[in-house]
Amino acid sequence: MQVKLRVYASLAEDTGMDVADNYGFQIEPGTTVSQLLQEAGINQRDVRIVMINNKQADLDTEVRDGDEIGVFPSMGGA
Amino acid sequence: MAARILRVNMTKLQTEWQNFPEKYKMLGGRGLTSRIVADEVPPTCHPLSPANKLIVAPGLLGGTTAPQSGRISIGGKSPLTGGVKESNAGGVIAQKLASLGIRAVVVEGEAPAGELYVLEIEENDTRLRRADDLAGKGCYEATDAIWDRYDTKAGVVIIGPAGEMRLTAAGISVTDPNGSPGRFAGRGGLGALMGAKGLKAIVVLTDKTFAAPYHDEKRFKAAAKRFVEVLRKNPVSGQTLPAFGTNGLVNVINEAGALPTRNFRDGRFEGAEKVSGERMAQLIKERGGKTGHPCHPGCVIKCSNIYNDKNGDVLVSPLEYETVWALGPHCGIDDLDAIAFMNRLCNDIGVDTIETGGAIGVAMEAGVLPFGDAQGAIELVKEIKKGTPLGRIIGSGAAVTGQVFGVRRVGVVKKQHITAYDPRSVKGMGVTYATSPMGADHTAGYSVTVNILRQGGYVDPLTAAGQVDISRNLQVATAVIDNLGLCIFIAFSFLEQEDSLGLLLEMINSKTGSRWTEADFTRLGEEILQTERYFNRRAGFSEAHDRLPDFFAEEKLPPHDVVFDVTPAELNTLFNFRQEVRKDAGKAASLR
Repeated sequence: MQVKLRVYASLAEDTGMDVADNYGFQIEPGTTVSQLLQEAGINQRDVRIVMINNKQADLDTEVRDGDEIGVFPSMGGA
Repeated sequence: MAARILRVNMTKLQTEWQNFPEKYKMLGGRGLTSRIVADEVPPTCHPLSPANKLIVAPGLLGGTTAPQSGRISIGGKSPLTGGVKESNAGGVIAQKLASLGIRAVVVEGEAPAGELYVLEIEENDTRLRRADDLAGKGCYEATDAIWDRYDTKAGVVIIGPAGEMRLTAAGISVTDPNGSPGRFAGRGGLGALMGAKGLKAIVVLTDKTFAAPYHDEKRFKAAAKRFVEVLRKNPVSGQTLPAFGTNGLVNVINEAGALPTRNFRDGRFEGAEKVSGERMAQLIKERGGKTGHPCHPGCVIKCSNIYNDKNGDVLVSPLEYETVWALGPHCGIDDLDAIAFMNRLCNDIGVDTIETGGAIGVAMEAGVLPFGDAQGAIELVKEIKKGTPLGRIIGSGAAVTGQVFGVRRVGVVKKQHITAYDPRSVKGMGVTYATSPMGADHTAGYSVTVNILRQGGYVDPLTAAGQVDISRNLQVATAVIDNLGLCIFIAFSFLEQEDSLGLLLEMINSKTGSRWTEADFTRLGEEILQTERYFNRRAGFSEAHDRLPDFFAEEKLPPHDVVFDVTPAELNTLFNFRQEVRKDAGKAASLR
């Protein structure tokens, strides 16, 4: 399965990945967001917000073929 | 020093000190401005009439060592909405007023036609000085002229040409610790009210910052110190906000499909990353600007910034999320430098960036200029300062612009423009926009926190269930935070760290000698909202005004293809507070 991962804010700084760029990953069926983050070298304890295809999701959500996943640390503002 | 109110009569050109009424003891900031509006302003008066009053009030904790206690509330009957209005800003003025024992400045009447004044406030003296030389001057030039005049560090509250022209998108600027006029009580057209009084500026001449009196200073300072630690420990107030400012939200809200794009046509903007907080922080660093900038002494969150242009010269401070959205994605503009330049123009002219961006988006909808035309948008903002008919239309806000150009898709509630969260895909915000007594106001009940940011729980942003309860709870809590004069960003600790509320109560009680519990906190929030609703009802507002524009219920928003489906009946339950609604809400003497 092919999925795309986008990282933001301090997660991009910590990993050296570019903000909002699509990073392609080849994964096995049944892979969770948590497992995907591990493969991407992202510490899941730093992740507060997970979105799959622009919808809210969780670390234990299973990703599906073609999904686009966006992850953020704790964010705020107004 | 006894607490006092400064009364300013612009008709008689006289000022007078008044002892602070005991019945207002626990009120400050928004609680006080809204209460004085309800007590003293005829609800049906024209907002520009001499009977309306401009009220400037630091919060209950203003001038103390409490972190984030520098918010200044400015209130009156809104020239934009026709209802009660409180708009608050950072900057230095709240702490200076509170340090002089001044709980409120109340300006009434109107100066003789064609005359313009500056109100000078010193600890034991006040003067109204003719200021015709400042007429028509932008906020930057006029503030510089005021700073040149006084040898002490003056705190300045000032209007630009938009306020003098009495345009309904006009805001009021407050100087920051650098003397820059970048902090704005932007919303609701209060600049027009100040202009109608013939008042160009209020200048507070004191170096005092943390000199407000305490009931128990030792107890207070211990609690304030612990609260600083709580804020620093919180990942939002301690890390994200200082690093990316409020503009860190662009990518989050865009990723959630809730970033209103091209006048609410889409929830995703293809140029989002180019105007994001991450990009902004990178440019600030490259150009020698500053992130982690405090907007008032004692601010430990430091979400403000100084944004420089390509040559490394200061362009604007701060550059904020709502402004970036209004002048950016809402107009299809992805050029951060153009947005920052328009922000500077708006600050100089003295207009609300949100309302101005809203109006430009509506003008784009009407075909006055195409979406994405940054240069055209800049020219349109410049028209406001010139006072041309087109400039005056834009400077009167989105509702007027839509009316003049025959546009129906206008995202306003009570004539005030919605902000950077589409109500169809962040439904709690739709409830707040619809029901806040202030008109569409994101700060009044910021459901984004639980709908999107997962701070303080989670409620699905795409379904109607539960949104009224979230909005109600947040509107009540926010009213109290606004009463205390605290920055709303303390709420992120409030939602996540259990000791926050206890520390706040400890600060309130050791400041005032009261014995408040959590129940009093809630009761005060409800009373403030009831007071505001009471004024609005007498001004002619009904449940029919607590609604979003039709198109949000009719047009599906991509990418989620959702409409706003919280029903009118559900919206009507927002103000069903747990306690029995007090019949004498408008007269309710707040508290012991």
